[in-house]
Amino acid sequence: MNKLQILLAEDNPALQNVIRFNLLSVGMEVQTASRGDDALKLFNNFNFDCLICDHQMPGMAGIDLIRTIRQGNHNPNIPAILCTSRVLDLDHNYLKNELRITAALGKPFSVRQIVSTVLQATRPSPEPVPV
Amino acid sequence: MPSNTPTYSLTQMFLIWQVFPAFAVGLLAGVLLWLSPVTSPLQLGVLFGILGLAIVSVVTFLLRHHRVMSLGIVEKQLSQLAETTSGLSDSKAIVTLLGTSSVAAGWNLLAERLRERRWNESIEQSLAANAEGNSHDIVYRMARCHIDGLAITDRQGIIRFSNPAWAMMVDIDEKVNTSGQSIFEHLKLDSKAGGQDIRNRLQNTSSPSTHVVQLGRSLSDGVWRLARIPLDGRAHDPEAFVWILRDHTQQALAEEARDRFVGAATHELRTPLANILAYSETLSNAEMDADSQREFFNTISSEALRLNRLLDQLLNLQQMEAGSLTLDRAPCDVLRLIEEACDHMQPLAEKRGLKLDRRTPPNLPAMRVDKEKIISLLINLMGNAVKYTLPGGEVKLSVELQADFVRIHIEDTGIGIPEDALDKIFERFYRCQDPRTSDQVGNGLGLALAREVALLHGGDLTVQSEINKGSRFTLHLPTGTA
Repeated sequence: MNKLQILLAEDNPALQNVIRFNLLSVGMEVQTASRGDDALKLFNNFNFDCLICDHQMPGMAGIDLIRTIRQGNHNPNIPAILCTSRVLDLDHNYLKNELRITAALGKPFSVRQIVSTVLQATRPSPEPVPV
Repeated sequence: MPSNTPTYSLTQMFLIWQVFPAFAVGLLAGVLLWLSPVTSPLQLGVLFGILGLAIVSVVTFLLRHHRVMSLGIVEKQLSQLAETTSGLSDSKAIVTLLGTSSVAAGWNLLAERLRERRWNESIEQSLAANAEGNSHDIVYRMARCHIDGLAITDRQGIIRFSNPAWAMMVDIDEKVNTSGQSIFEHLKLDSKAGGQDIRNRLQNTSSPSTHVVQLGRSLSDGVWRLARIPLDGRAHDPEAFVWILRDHTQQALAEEARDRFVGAATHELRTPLANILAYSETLSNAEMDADSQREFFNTISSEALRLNRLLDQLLNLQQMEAGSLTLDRAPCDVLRLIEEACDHMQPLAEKRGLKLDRRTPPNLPAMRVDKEKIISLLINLMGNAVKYTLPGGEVKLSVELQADFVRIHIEDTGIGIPEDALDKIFERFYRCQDPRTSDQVGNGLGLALAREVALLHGGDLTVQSEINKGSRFTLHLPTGTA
């Protein structure tokens, strides 16, 4: 079975490192980006199974990144998980219905939660995960 | 009648009104009898009748118009006269004098009660007359010079009175007589955000209510706090309304800044906290080698330190703003401070490919400043200059010596600060929403702290900037700081 390919876009190096560590430890393959625009370039050059991205990022905000992907031609239906410290400020209806994100995780979150959300989202017939 | 008029005065007045004419008529008749030779019972009857009628009508007139003056002198002189003549044998004369004196005393009591009643009535009238534009009473004048906009309308919203502050706030000429105009035309609620809802609520209910009205697109365009209270407190069926209009702009701006601060502070505090939790959770769950474990523990402690530093800075700022943090002042050679700060920045500037230039006059005076705080302020300003200037640029520190002030300029050839951000950069946690700077780290407290340090020294920190040309921060320090 092929390993799951994950794109992790997070500008905080420490957080990026620990999320990557946890994904690797369950046997996924991870590519990282510290800027939103870099993440978009990476996304367009590979076929990822899941996107994890921070909202507040230099280059391009997480929501803008997901919107661009959804409107594009390359892999537009990829499961996307949004991480943010301002989870309450966001319009959850928009996130769920328009951007079709799998989950919005508020910081501080549990890394286990990220791993299990990724596993759920990438199952052949994914169960809907509450946003 | 005003409810606060003492009832005894009315009762007394009634008694005096009844007793006084009768007594006066009897007395005057006695005097006339004593003086005149008239003896016929018919003539006497007519005389009594005429005198009684005349006196009752005079007293009634005086009472109705409250024009009663005290007969103080008459009363006093008559009673003195009665005393001095008490040795006389003519007892008839003494009785007459005493009688007249006591009539005068009764009259005086009546006059006093009436004056009291008249004062109470005039206050009542002045309250009622406000709406009529009676400019001669104190309540009216108070309403006119009130700092809040005040208006009185009937129940349909037709203005009966408005003060100059009202005219100023709704932007009409204060000399124009507003009486008869519609309050809703003054307020122009329909053209304001959410104004139609407010208008509907005002027109559908008459209970006391308060509304916040934003005048333009941003808060700084102006915010009103509008209150309407039914007059006489009869909310279900008011005769009239009192409208109070207050300028709420400064308070609204302060509330907005506070919300922004709380939001930003939460974000800044959550970031290290999220890292600490993620690392500790991973450590307790995952299998890992000793090196990784050590690395993870180090990250946790450095994130905890970052959190602590952030809290320290916040506390420092708070103490400075509250005035509870005192400076550790000592005489310092300003040139040495500048050198120290520049030496600290030199490696960083070189690493980024920037030229660090320093121009200082030779005769700088010694100044009493908090050395550590001024050095870290200069490092902070130079650090920003280095951070926001592209490689190949220049950061220049120059000193200008004036009579009372030393001005230290830190200039760069960097990307500049957008004009609309210039007045916000000293705010706590403010960070420019500029895509060109979004990859620069910082918690947005540096400049807030720097300005507080400058203010504590009796100086200031100012900024000038032009996009793509550069920024110039100036620290103003008074030379005579004791």
